Amino acid sequence: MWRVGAALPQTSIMAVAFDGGVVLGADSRTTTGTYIANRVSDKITPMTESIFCCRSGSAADTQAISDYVRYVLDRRWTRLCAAVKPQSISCLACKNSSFDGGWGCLSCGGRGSLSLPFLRLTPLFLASLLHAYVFFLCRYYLDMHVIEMGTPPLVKTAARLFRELCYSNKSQLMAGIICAGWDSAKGGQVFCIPLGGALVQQPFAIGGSGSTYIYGYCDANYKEGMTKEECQTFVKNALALAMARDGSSGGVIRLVTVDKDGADREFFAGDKLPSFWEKS
Amino acid sequence: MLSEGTLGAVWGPSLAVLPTRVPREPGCTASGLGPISTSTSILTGLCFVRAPRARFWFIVSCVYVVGLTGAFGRPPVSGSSLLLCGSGSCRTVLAVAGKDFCVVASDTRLGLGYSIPSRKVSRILKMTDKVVLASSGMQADMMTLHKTLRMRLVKYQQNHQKDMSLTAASQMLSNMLYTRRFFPYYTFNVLGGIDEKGEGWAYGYDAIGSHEKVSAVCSGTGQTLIQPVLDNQIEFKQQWGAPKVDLSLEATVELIRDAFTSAGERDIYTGDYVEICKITKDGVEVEEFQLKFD
Amino acid sequence: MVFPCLPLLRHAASLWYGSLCGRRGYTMPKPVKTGTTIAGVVFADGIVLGADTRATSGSTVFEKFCEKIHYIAPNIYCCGAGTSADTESSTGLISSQLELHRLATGRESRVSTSLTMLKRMLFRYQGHVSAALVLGGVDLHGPHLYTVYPHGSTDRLPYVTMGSGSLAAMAVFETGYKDDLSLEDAKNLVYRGISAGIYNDLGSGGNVDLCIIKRGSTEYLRGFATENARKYRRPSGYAFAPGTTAVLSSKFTRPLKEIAVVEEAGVAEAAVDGAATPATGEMDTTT
Repeated sequence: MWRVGAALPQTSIMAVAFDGGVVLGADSRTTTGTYIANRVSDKITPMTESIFCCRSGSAADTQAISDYVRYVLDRRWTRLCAAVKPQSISCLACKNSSFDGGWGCLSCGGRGSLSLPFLRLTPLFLASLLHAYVFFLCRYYLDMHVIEMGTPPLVKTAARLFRELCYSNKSQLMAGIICAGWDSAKGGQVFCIPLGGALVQQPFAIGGSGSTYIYGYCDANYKEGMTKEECQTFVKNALALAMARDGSSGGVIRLVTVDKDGADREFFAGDKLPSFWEKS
Repeated sequence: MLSEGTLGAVWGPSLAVLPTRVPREPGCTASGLGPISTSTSILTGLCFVRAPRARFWFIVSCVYVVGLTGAFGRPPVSGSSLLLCGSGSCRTVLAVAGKDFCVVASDTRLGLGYSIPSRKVSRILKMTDKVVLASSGMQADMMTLHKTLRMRLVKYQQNHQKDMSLTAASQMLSNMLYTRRFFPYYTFNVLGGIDEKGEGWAYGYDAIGSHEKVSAVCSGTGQTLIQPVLDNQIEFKQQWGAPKVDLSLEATVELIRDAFTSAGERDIYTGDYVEICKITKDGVEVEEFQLKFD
Repeated sequence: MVFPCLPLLRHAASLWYGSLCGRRGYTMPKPVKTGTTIAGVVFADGIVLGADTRATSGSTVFEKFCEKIHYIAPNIYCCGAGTSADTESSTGLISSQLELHRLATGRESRVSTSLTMLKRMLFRYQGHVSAALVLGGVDLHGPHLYTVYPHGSTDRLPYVTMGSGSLAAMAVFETGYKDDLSLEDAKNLVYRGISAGIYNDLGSGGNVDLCIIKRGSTEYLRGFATENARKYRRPSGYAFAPGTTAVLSSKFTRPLKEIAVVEEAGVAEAAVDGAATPATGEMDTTT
């Protein structure tokens, strides 16, 4: 009973790329069995300032994965910044500029930091857990970027980290993730990492139990070259339709729009959702 | 996260709300059937026919009891869909006999899992002016048993022009239980009353009719807590050299109140109220005693 | 990545123990659960946490007045539901680590730190540590209120409930919660929520405990409401005459060790003498 959203990815999540950015959207319902444990949850998690992910599946698993990916990205980005301009560093979690350069944020024991002794993520610890390859991979990307200098993490980097974690631990995880964001190299991109740990880049991606209700709608209504506003409306309408039919999805709609200027959040209350032929 | 909005505005009207405080008004008891009691009987009959084996009872009873509010004592929370009160031996009943009286008592809580479908369900059947039955165990079987017993008692009265004696009633109950030897009523009965000689006696039963004439018996979820106290205080077990005095009616009732209060402290299925039936030569007097509601 | 290896060992051990028990005709010992109502509310200046006080083992009440609001740090408390041993040990573990962290850094602990530590630990054990928690506290970023599930997922909300009575309590909160409640209103709301659990959920019962955390001050109201005290006692009581307990046999023997009684000596001296002399065996037996 306590396993939050364990049996199936019970949610509706979505992301669409447009020219120069992406729009991510999610419902807000978290269930344990038939009980709604949280009716205003935030399933769109920031990884960096311009990369986000939508989580579906077990809440515990997806929270742990995204915490870890963010930690790796944070650390890499931190090192990068430390090499270039030490003053401009700030922690994503607490907005304090007190990174120690290696192990994350010191001022916020939370998301940035793993400096607490019992959880120290040393290479040895990871190797002992047979995840040395993951760590090696992270280090590899980290070094690549340090060499490149001045580039924040790519969306693809974040997506590949997710893929690596989801694929190599697939027997223990219940996580379907949509990773999307903007980077200067390739603009807005959407990556889908479904249950088994594949990595697929798509012009748009839908996920969770609610997505089954809107495949047809999305295929019929998606058009290449949509503007930012058209994408926002598309995501909002598709999610509203999914939430109306899927009992495991519901609540409010949260939208995140990412472009070169950063991220913009929107919120649509449960009584302000788009309605279609049915009167709301 | 939730930093951006006021939660109250998000959802509009809130979910249905349960009243939080007790006590509540007493609902109807098992003897006072509600308006849909007829359909209850039909459904009950159907399900008994369809249940192939005793071990499937719980499932079957859960199916048919939904919505039969009137038959099971109106729940304190109206609109509750938790009336799956067929299962479970969630009840404490006891009978204590004195020299010329008998006391039969039962608490009135109906517990199912961690919920309380009703706080006020009577499990006591006044068979005659001198015989009272209390049943713990499955609610649906208890109702069926009591109904059948009532029919047999009326028939006996009309055939013989007299009320059934305590010994006759005890044997009839045993026979009725044993006729269902391989598909038993899931009830654990205690019977108490005054016999032809004017002496008080109690009878304890198992589910299939084995019974014993005793001076104090308890069954149900509080059995393990109460029976040792009765043995010690009524029959003076484990009291070496203590004089075996007969308790007065009032002293017996005080002991029963205390025993139920204590059981209510430690057994989560015992609580709400106790119905205490005092059987004397003058008839049956019922007292209601309040327990805790948590 | 912090993926489980310990829990698997633990699980294997429990399976082994289970099979051992089965072969010998024993069953696994039943752990004490707190079929519980716990809750928390954010109000204008801080957090109000609440809990009932019943711990059960199956259908038996194991403890009528247990404490379910655990100390984490002076500014952080945590209500626990689930298996008693798990909630107590996991909150205790985090509490001690935070104490060390405070001594090392000289700074007030943060709620998000304790949250992260708890969720990482619980995730590592993949739900085998069945602690369902309501974590609340006030730090330099203001009041924080979280729920933590046994598998390690967390939610941040302005009003939360947990445990078997959580539905009853949440029904009250959904009706009565408003933003920026006053302290009195918040206390009353939590009290009503916990009471709903106490009276409508058989796993919850006893008293209402509250804990109020504001910036710079914490108030633990043990027994905020005590409506479920025992109401009746038999007027005559239970008096047993001396000798009621049967003496089946009696046998008197000399003490196995020699005992010395030293009169009018200092406390320390007496202790030393008493301990030392019998061992030497030089003194005669006195009683």
